[in-house]
Amino acid sequence: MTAAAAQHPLVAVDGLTVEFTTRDGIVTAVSDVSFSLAPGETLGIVGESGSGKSVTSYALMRILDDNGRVAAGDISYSGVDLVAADDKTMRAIRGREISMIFQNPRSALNPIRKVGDQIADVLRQHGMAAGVEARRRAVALLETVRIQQPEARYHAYPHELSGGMCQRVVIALALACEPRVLIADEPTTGLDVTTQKTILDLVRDLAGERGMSMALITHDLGLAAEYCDRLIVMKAGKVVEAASTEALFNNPQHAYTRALIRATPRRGARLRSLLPENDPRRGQPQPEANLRQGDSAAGGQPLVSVKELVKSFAPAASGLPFLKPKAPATPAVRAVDAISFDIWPGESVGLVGESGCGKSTTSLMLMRLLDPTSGSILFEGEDIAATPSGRFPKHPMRSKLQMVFQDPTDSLNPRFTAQQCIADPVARLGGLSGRKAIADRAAELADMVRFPRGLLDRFPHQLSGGQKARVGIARALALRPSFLVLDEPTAALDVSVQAVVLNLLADLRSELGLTYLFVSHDLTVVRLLCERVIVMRAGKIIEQGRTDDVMDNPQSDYTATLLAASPQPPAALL
Amino acid sequence: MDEPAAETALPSNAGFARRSLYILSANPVSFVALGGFGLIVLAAVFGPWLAPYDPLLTDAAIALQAPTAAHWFGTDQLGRDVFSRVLVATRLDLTISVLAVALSFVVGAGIGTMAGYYGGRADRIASRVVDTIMAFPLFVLAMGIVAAMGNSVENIIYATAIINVPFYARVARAEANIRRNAGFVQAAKLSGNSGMRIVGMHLFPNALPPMAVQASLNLGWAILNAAGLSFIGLGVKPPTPEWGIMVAEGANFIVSGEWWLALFPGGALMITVFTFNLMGDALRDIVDPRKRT
Amino acid sequence: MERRTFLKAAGAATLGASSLSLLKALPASAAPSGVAVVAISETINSLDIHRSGTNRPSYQIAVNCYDRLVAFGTKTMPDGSLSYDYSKIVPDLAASWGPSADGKSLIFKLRDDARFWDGAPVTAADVKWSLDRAVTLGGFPAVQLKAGSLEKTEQFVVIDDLTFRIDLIRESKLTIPDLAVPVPMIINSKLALQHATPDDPWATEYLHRNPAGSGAFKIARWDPGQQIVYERNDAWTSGKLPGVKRVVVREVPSQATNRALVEKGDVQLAFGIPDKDASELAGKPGVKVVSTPIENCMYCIGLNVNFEPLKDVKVRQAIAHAVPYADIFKVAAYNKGAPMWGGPSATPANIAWPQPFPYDTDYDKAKELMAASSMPGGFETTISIDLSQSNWMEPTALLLQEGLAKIGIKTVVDKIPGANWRTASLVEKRLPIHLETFGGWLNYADYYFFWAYVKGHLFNSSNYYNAEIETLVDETLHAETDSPGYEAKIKRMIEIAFHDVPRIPIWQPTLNSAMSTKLAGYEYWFHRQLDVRKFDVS
Repeated sequence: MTAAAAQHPLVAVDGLTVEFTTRDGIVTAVSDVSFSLAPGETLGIVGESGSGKSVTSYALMRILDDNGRVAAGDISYSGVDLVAADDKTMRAIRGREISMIFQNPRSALNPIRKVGDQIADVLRQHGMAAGVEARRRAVALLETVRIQQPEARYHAYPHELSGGMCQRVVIALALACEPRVLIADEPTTGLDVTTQKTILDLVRDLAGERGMSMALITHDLGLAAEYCDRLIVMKAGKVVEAASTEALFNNPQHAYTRALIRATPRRGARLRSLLPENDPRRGQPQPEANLRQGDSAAGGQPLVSVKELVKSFAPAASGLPFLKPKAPATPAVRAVDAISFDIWPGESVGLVGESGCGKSTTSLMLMRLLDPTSGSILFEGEDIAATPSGRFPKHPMRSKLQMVFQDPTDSLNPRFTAQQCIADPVARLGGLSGRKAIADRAAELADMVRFPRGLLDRFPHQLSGGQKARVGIARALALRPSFLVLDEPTAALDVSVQAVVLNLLADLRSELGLTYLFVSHDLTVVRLLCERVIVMRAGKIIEQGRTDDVMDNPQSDYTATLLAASPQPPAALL
Repeated sequence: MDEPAAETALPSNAGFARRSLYILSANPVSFVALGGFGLIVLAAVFGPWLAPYDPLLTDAAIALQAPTAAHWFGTDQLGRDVFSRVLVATRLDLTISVLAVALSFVVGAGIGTMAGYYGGRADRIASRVVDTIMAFPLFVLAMGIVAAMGNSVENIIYATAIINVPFYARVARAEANIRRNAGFVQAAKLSGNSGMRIVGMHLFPNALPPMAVQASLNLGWAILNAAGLSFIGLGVKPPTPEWGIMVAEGANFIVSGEWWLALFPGGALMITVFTFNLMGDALRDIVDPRKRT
Repeated sequence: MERRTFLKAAGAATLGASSLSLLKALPASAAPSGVAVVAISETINSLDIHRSGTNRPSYQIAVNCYDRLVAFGTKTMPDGSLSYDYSKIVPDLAASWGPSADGKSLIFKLRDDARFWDGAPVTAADVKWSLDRAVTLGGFPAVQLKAGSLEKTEQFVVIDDLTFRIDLIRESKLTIPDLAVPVPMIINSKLALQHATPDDPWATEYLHRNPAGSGAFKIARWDPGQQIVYERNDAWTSGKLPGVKRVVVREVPSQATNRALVEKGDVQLAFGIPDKDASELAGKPGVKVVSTPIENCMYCIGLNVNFEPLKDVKVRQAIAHAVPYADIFKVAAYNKGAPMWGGPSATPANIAWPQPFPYDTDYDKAKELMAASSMPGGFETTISIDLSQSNWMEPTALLLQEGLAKIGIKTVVDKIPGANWRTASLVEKRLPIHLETFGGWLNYADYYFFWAYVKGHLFNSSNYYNAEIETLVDETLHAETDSPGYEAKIKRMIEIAFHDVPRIPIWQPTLNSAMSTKLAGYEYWFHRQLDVRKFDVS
């Protein structure tokens, strides 16, 4: 960033304060925030949930909710005061001068219009082109965002495209009128890691080609480190630190920034070092696996043994029974294609792959929530795949196989208090009866996961993300399982909360002698927690082995690609 | 760095009564509705004792008199006091509507939740049954039930309840369908809950809020149904007072100038239906846990 | 379910529905001269009185569109209105008639200038075909003709084109009057036979919708359920040509709307209005109300002797004393009609019929009778009423219910839909306590007793049987009123009816119609249906 550019920032935010009027009074979401964006620069706005980073960008674009308003401060774009501008000016600015892309690409696109038409609409709206010319330019834009066969894809509907392609379309929409500023609000959350890399590389290239400024809002420090020139860190509506990327990582000034950097999983870090500075557990030794019967080298029986597991989904039967065509129109989809692996007692195994690789289907089958098409699942020597999923709740092995789910909001019954969520399995299969006994057990479990007893009578919507995650873990532990499948348990959590929860999971494994199958798309996290890792792709196992081996010396190209795509913050000095 | 949950207006999750009171008092409209409903319930419970005259006592000499100090709502064509009849009818009308709605609520929600959760054949059969019921006109069904099981108020309640089942079934089915693969349902399976337990304890309570609003709208409609049926001789028999039939018969007298026969029961009916509709929103707030803070 | 539905239904159900027909019933308030608009509250379901299933309101077609051999004369009532005269038989299609030489037949000479609407002359062959049809198709027409001893097709003989003979089974005073009731109408048989098929030899399908008569009015159009339009037959020979060219009869189900229509002058006649409306409309400007007592008719409480507690005559008499007559008359009849209670003695002074029965509202006497009866502790039963007549039946039933409660009889009021009423009360005769409205078409007391007191006959809804009554009816039904012993026998029948009370009369009703003062020629008939043939609009 040149000094001249610093003196003439494209966007200047000064002392911005945004307030919302709610049922409980005025809530200040953003307080006295100042930053600037120079031409051609990429600024990263980093923060956890509730930090106010998105609200800042909404205020910039003047798309706050009805009950929000800019209470104080100035926002100026190229000399135009955005706070005081009227609707007409803002409409001219949005899309043409400043564009924005959002987190969920599908919700940004109109599901019943072709994607090409939507791009053409933007061009027409801003008077950049009309009629056939608009279509031609839309196709050209699709090509710019590296969509194959753009003429054909012009006529596709959003539901016919993958998440990554939808996000490309959204980028094309955003860039259609060649804006000078692009604001990207968590544009790659929910995308696979390889897709994420491709998208962000694309955006960086386009920004570079056109001299466009970009504000990248993210919670992922790794991403911010790789793609941004400067960073500002926000917490609870305030800016706690602003510096160039290099300076921030080399010498973080504010305690919060340091804690954030510390908590971000990265190569070479240990679990304990993710914890905050003053956490007593930092000093404790790394929790080790409690290998009761030793690993494969020492002999003994695997706890879980999967052999030739197959799950194929037949296409929906079409037509009347006696009129079915001889060959089905579309072949059956094999979500899981004859995989085999073993898990020894006390182990923590990672199952890694991108979306559509079959890892979720595999974990559902292991949990007996889904029936395999063929193959066997041996648990403690017994084939549990033989019992259909409808009858499994009554199977004696039910309590030994439990799962921690990905989305804490979705996985807790909104009408149950935390205590009821935890107590439900106890009441069903826990062998205890009587309200007091069950309540005591629930309190015991809450203590185990360090969930404050006072919050047990709260409902899920009254708990924070981390608290909800703990409730989910406590529920999974209620029946004293021996095998736990953890399905991306920390994907939806803030990075600082994630650090604490990962440590908790490691401690629990050690204390209770559990065996984990940790399903994730994040290789760095898997490395922290798992001794072995299995890599899946398109229903098949590409590679499996000890985590260090696989990560340092990947045998397959695909694993190498995955590793390369994971964003990494510069090596921490803490 | 776990943030504590936001401070809520309630220190803890208080009991049902206290929570309901909090929600109702927060919104003035709900408060009015609550007051109205309280009055109606009072009239239903204590009506027969509060009525100044016997609602069935005829007196041909004073038939068709306009409202006076002695008879606040005037007298009808048989000389009966209209005010007493309107007051005493509250109990019957409330009973019919509440029972019919409660019955259809429970049955409809049960069928719908099961159909939405299990899917497949159970869903197809349940949906076709519900579609058939929807196609049935109320009067045909009511006559059929009366012909088969006899002419009584009880059977009219059944007929009204059956007719209303599809509305709840469809809402419950949609709500269950959305949630059947949700994490908490899978977790419930892992916890050893059988299918029926999941339907009843986990899914059904989540379907309550939209159905609560539906129930309040249905209450008024149920009274009107009962009126229509009793007008053609099914269900409520004369001389039992019931608002709907008092209105329908009173309408015949409007042309000849005796307006009070239809106006007062019609007014009572209107106020009750209106109160129920207002309560719909309040009911939903009470029943939805997310509305507590 | 929604507020919209509520607004529509509450408080305006009937009014709303009838308002729609009100909209349809709005031609100009001043009708063009020569057209009369009539509102009736019942619906016409066929244009053929001989067809099975034809309801009573449809009889007006037979009255206005067809002629018969003979007709009743007309008399003027004390209030100036017209009524049929049961004591005078006048020529219709038959110019003259008389007994045959051997007295066993009646010879009818048809007029030579009578023409059907298509111009064909009316011949004896048409008369025979029509009478054969009435007798053969069965149902109500055959039963009605049987009352006049017209039973078999062999009785009907064609002598020549203009001469017709009826062979009598027996001599009866009822035969000739029975030829003047609507049923034996004369149909254009040639035209009808063109539309007959082997399956339908009497052309019922055709005549159901297409009258083929010689009467004063043709049918210009019939919209079932809505209206029927009469158009004058200018070639009519059987009487003075009607004063109106067209009569539009609109079906308006709601009584309240009918009243409003006639008050506003949108219709010239509201036919058959309730007693309440009749008494209230009487003084209104531009409106005149005609209330004619219905001969040979009483509104009664029927007590079904098949029902165990009602077998005991003391119970029935107790009930007769527990009826709040005056209140019912006031509240249900608005004091219109003739009271039928409070007769002076248990034996009749004369053979006037109907006449008041010797019962008064006397609960003490009623309780005494109950105590002495087979059911001293009272019993429970049902009072059944016809839904389509609830405007007077419901108040009556409710007051009766109150009265019976006072003597220990607990009752429930059961409303039976109009479509089922006839079957339940008259055909199956299964209603314990019910209200009965029979009115005999031929104005003789023996005719009434024949229909209502003889076991198994249609209007004997009480399942009553008395051997003496059966004999007396046989002896008096066909006898002339001046024959020896006739009066004594009638008095005896009335005395038995007084004592046994299977039917408790309350009052003799009136037929009320409200009409514009500009409408003349309204005529009351025993069949209580609309006769428009004397109408004239000034």
